[in-house]
Amino acid sequence: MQDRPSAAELLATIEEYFRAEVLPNVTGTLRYHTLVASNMVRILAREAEQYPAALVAERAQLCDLLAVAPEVEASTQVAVLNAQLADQLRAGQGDEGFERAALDVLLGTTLAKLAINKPGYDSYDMAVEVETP
Amino acid sequence: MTHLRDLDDMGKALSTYLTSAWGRTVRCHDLIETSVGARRGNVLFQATDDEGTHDLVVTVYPPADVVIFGVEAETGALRLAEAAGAPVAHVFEVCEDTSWFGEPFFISQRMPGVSLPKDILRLVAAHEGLGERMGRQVGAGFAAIHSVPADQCPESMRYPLDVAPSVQSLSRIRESMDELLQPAPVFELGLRWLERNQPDAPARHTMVHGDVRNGNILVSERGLEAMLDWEGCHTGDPHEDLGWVALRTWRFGNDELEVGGFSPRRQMVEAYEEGGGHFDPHSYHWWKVMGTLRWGVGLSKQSVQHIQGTYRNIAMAGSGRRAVELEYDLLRLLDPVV
Repeated sequence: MQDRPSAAELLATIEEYFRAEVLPNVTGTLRYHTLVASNMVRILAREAEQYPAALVAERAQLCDLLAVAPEVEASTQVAVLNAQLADQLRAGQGDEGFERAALDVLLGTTLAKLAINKPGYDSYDMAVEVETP
Repeated sequence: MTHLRDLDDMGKALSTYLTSAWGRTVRCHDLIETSVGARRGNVLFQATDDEGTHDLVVTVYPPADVVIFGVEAETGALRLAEAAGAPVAHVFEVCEDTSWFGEPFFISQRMPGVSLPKDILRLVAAHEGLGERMGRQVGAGFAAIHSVPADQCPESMRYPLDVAPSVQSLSRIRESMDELLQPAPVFELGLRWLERNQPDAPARHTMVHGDVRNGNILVSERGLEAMLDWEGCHTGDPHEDLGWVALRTWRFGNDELEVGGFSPRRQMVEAYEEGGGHFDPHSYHWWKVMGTLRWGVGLSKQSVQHIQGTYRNIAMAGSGRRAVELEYDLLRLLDPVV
């Protein structure tokens, strides 16, 4: 068993260090890069918490869409299935019904990625600005 | 690019250069480096001669391998845009000799105003009507830029005139997508939509700035002062500019105001049409989808440069995790029509 502080506690400590001790004392490019670094630490903390479940959910949806059976290891299979989906979309295989279903799956995956990388970004759905061609 | 400790040397070099170029004694002073985080350097300075003091900017190019078209094309575009009535800084000197600062450079008029998106939005929030005025000025500026026909543009920035700009853009984005390090089904879906819904070719190819956005403009309380950063200027479909400035990503949280987070679309389009521009809603939407895809792929590619070591930089690394914002925007733009 690993000692305290836990991984989550270490990430919180780094984030606090950037925010409370570094940021007030830097300007210009160094400040900008410190903000980026601090944001990366927050991403890692959310990823540690959310990614395992998100990966399993993504795998299940992709298996369903592409009609394949789930295998044991989710992260490897998700990479393979995403490559397969990308190839299928690129080749124009599948009708508009398939692309519609793919969009729904991809929107779910995208929301899960956003929840880790940029929480709250999905509060605006762009409905007012979409033209119907 | 130059660092703070080099600014004294740079001032001396500028004095020597301008004294020779203008044929009278010029002293350059009060240099201020701007463009935090950017790869090309902009240094503000003052030049004093017997006529008085001039507020100027020297733009030093980044290393040749990351330059899109080069100093001659950029300043050529700037001068054409100025002649057409677009809000741009006047170019005084262009120098391709790399012995001065290591790379080519040009010297232009220093325009007033702020350029950081947060500063612009703060200014807009503090001055009623400013954002909508800027929307109109952006539209009028585009009308001026797009009044320049492609065949008058510097040759090095001309894309083929006999192939539809949408077709050229599709093949360039495909090449970019092939350089990514992971499968990108969202981008592929976007590309499928773009292939299937191509707009009519524009009546004529024109000059296109290519990167007017909140962050590439100078704004004062009077309104839009200048459109900056003409290094990617090229020829193509004018709707590329109209769509690009309206991407959600350039609104910095002010999602409801389509143009840069400071103005609704209507002000821009009205002024554009009053200035002689032709606005087609489908072309506009198509180029907005294309712009969203292009910037999403662009962010991903920044992280590729970091990961592969061609440009190791923490901000470039961070871009890889920002690409999903553009993926979300892209899916939302496609949502009702796929």
